[in-house]
Amino acid sequence: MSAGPSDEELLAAYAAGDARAFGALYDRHERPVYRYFLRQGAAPALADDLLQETWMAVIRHAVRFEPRARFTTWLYTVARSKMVDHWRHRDVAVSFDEAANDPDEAPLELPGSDADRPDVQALSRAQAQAFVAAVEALPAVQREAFLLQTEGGLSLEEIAAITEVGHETVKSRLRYAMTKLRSAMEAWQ
Amino acid sequence: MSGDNADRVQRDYRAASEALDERPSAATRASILAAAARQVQAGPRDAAAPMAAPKPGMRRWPMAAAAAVMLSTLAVMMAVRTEHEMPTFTPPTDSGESRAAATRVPAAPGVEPGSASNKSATDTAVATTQRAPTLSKERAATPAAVAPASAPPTSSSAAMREVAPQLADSKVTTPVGEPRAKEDVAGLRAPAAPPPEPSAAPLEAKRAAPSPAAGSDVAAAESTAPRVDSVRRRDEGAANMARAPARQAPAVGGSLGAAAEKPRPEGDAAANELRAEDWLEKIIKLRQTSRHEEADAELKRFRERYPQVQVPAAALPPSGTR
Repeated sequence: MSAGPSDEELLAAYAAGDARAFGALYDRHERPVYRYFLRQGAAPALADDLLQETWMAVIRHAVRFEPRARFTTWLYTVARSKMVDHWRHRDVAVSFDEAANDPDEAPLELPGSDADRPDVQALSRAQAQAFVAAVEALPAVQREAFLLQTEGGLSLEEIAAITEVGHETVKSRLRYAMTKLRSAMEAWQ
Repeated sequence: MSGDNADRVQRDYRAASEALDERPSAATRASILAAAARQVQAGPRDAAAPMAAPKPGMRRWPMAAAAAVMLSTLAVMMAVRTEHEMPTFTPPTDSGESRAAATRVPAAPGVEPGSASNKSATDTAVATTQRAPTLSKERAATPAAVAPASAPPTSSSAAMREVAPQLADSKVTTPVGEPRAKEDVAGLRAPAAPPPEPSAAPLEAKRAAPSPAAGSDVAAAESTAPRVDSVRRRDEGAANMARAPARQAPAVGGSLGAAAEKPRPEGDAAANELRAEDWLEKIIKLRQTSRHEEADAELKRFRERYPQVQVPAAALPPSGTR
């Protein structure tokens, strides 16, 4: 995270009437939350709507935020809730079944790339799209755990609290997700 | 999977996300920020919300305003009270001569026979002014005696003599602090003054026992004059008596000057007592009429009251009786 006031301090300042504090807080988490929606299968327009609903909820309930919890945990709890609500209204079954955690599941079929990749920091746009596609191809529960850890920077305990599963379950989901993604990366090289 | 591999996967993912440069639309961003600003400006506050600490200037300003208002109110109240309690300054509107005449002590007979008329009126005014608290009380009860004054009116007091009864009657409604010129007071006193006579003996007698008419005039005048002027003139009269001992009656000599230096006691009891010179004249008259017992009693009281005043021989008991 960047230096300066913490997320909790910025939110408290906004609750006290400082609109600039909200701007700083929003700039920190705008894109990660937006990507969180995109990787979960939302189209850009839908991601915009979900992002707006999420932040509107933050604005409405900012005064009720309790500093004993991390703001990021609360933010992604709201974001996940908005996304689940959206899929439920659309009658789309979200695949959060445990079968996706089967370790015998075949590796992801990731789009390969013939281009050399000397460094991951120098990913081409095509490679980036391939890597993102690999993430999006993960089972829902693994993808969610991966995104919450990578985009939100949440700990295992926080992910477990948000997803309402046990600590070990989250750890297992993350392990499988990392294995699949690393296999996809090795396929490029 | 090792931690290093997990970190590498996460780094690759972040790099891929940065390369794709995915961000929400500007409209979404603007809408969210605008909603946040509206919520701050117009949204109701939760009672349990932590209140923002007010700025130091905002916290002190109401206190400073309240203190300023309170101090202003106190200042106004004190100014009004002081205005009511403090004596008002009346600028002298008369000439220096009339002022000097007004403050002159009673003259000895035959000192200035040329100005006997005006001086006698002035002297009577001064004398009665010094007894103003008592005389005003005594003579205000006899307003009918104002008009029939025995002295011929002077030119300046002719008009004032006509309005004297009205002034005497209107003394209740006249404001206490209303400034009046000394000529008015002197004019009111003029009809009460005794007629000009070459000898001052009647004047002394009148000074010892002021006529009711003169007293009424003076009482009317004093009742309409500012009270503070009476006090001031009384003090000035006492000072002038100390300054002009040669003008005292020869029988009394300079001893009355010392008596005059002593401040006249305040209050009704002190006001009922006669002045030293009047008291001695009364005692002398009692001796002359062979009322020695009364004269002795008066003399005893006189000595208790004025122990430092030298008693003339005419007031002392005749040798042989004591």
